[in-house]
Amino acid sequence: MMGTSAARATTQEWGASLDLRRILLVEDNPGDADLARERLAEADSPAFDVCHAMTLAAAIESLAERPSDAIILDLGLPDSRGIETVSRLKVASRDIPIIVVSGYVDENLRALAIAEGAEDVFTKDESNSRLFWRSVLQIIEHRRVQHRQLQTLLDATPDAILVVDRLATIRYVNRAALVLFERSREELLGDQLDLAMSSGELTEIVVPRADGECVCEMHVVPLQAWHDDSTSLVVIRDITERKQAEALRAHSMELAAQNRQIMEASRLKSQFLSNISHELRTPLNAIIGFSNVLHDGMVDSSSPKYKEFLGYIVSGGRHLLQLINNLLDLAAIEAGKIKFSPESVDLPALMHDVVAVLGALSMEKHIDVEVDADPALARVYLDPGRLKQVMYNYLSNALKFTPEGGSVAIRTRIMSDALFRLEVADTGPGIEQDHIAQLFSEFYQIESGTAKSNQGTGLGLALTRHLVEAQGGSVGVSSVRGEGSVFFAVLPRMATGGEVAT
Amino acid sequence: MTVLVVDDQPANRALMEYLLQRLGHRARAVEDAQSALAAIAQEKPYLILMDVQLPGIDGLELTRRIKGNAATEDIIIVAVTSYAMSGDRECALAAGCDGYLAKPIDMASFSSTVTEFYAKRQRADTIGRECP
Repeated sequence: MMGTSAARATTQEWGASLDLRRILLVEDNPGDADLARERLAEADSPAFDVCHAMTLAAAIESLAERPSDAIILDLGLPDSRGIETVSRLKVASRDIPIIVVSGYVDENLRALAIAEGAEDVFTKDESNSRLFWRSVLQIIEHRRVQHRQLQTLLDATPDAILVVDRLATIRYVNRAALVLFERSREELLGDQLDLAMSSGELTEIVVPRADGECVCEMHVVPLQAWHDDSTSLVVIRDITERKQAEALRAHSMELAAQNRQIMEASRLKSQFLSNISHELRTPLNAIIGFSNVLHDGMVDSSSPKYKEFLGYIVSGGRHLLQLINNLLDLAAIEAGKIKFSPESVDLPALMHDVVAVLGALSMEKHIDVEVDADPALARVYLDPGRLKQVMYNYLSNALKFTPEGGSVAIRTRIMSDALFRLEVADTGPGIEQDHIAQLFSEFYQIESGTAKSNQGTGLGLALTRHLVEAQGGSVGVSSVRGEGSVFFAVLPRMATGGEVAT
Repeated sequence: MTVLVVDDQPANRALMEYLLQRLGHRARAVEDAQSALAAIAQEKPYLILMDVQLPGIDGLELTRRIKGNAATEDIIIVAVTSYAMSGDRECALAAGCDGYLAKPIDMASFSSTVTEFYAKRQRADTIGRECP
């Protein structure tokens, strides 16, 4: 389709003038004009179609009305004389070859005329010869070949090329433009180019087409040498494929990133499962192992060993239960199913409760536990069970890691009308900066030579974080190696709503 | 001919010590890699029951160190670990362990593994003495 329509357009452009050579003869002397016509009639080459103008004004008018292939110009006209005539006519004739004829020709005139844009210069006598007309013919043919070459070149480029005047009227289109706009040359020429043009820079435009949209890059170049200063060359390049490739590349990068995220999530899940398996098997080893041993009846039920072994079974069972409870809480939080039942809570009383629950451990390790409640903060409106859980997790951790004879403090402070801070400070070994970021992640336990007997589920701090965040709070820790750590939770003083489901 | 138990959990140490004694072995138990190396230097065991998750240097790294030392490379090491997912056995064997037992310990497997390695060691020692 593209081939035929474009080829037809080209033929039409040039076809009208294939046989006739349209000559504009600008000559004020009727005698000379008649002579010229006679010579032309004698010419054996293809027919000339001559239009005669007596004045420069008439010549310019004629040019505007009908196309010419060449202009034969007498320099002595009533309204213009001398070399200026060439330059005046050149403005109107644009690229039509001008052949100058003059009564007297010297090298100076020839040079001046050619400098002004004349194609060649002949004397009146010369113009009466058959040779003169052969020269005219050659000039026309030469110009046609040049045009055809330029046309071939422009039609061969994949970019759409148009020439538009200052009113955006299309003056020229190449073959690619016909294909791009899906219109014939006749339809396009003389029509307005309906595109916002800003000269000099590349603009992205969308050309609507029968088979969808075509994304293009448009480059507008002012053409000073063409008709007038406001004529522009418009080059439009179809970049749809490039755009599609870019979009595909962006999409594939996005997919790759998603894939990495999925892989990472999958890896974390496997890691989580592996950790759960490990954590469940550890207390089960003691429970099953010692149950087997006692079941075999080889240990005397009155011996101290019997009691010791039973103790391992009991603590293993408790540890397992704590682990399962923590896991269930975590699962509930992750599924968004945990329910908070806020009520008015006597904060200092709750702190003392938790300290009392862990009294055995603090007494055993001779750790002094200070309860430091903000006197201005007697009551908060929160779920007491969950608040107790947070306090318990922090306090039991602090007692676990603080060496014998150390001290631990549980504190509350008002932060604002809306928030308060709960913190537990210890005189434990402190935490390396590297570990702090992961401290509140599931199953993260700090390996420490001095903390070997600190059995934990590795879920306490993760659970604490989830519980606090689910109530709109945040957790954190500050620690100095060798001096101790302060674990804190910032919580709302008043839970929003009655029952908060997260 | 002693057996060394390396495990950070007191209950696990007590359990394995008891089971080994019941099988007629002399057993010692330590809680981390440092104590294990010290115990080996003091009295070289023929068998180590090695937990994998230990504070500081873990059981697999400790195994590599023992197997990488000419003076201790002949010690039989059996991993006894709660890491019982697919691939964990392969990891233990790749680190140089001669055997692998998953926790919770199966009493029968524990007895047969220890007895088997003991017999193997005795045979090797006998051959070693006959052909110096």
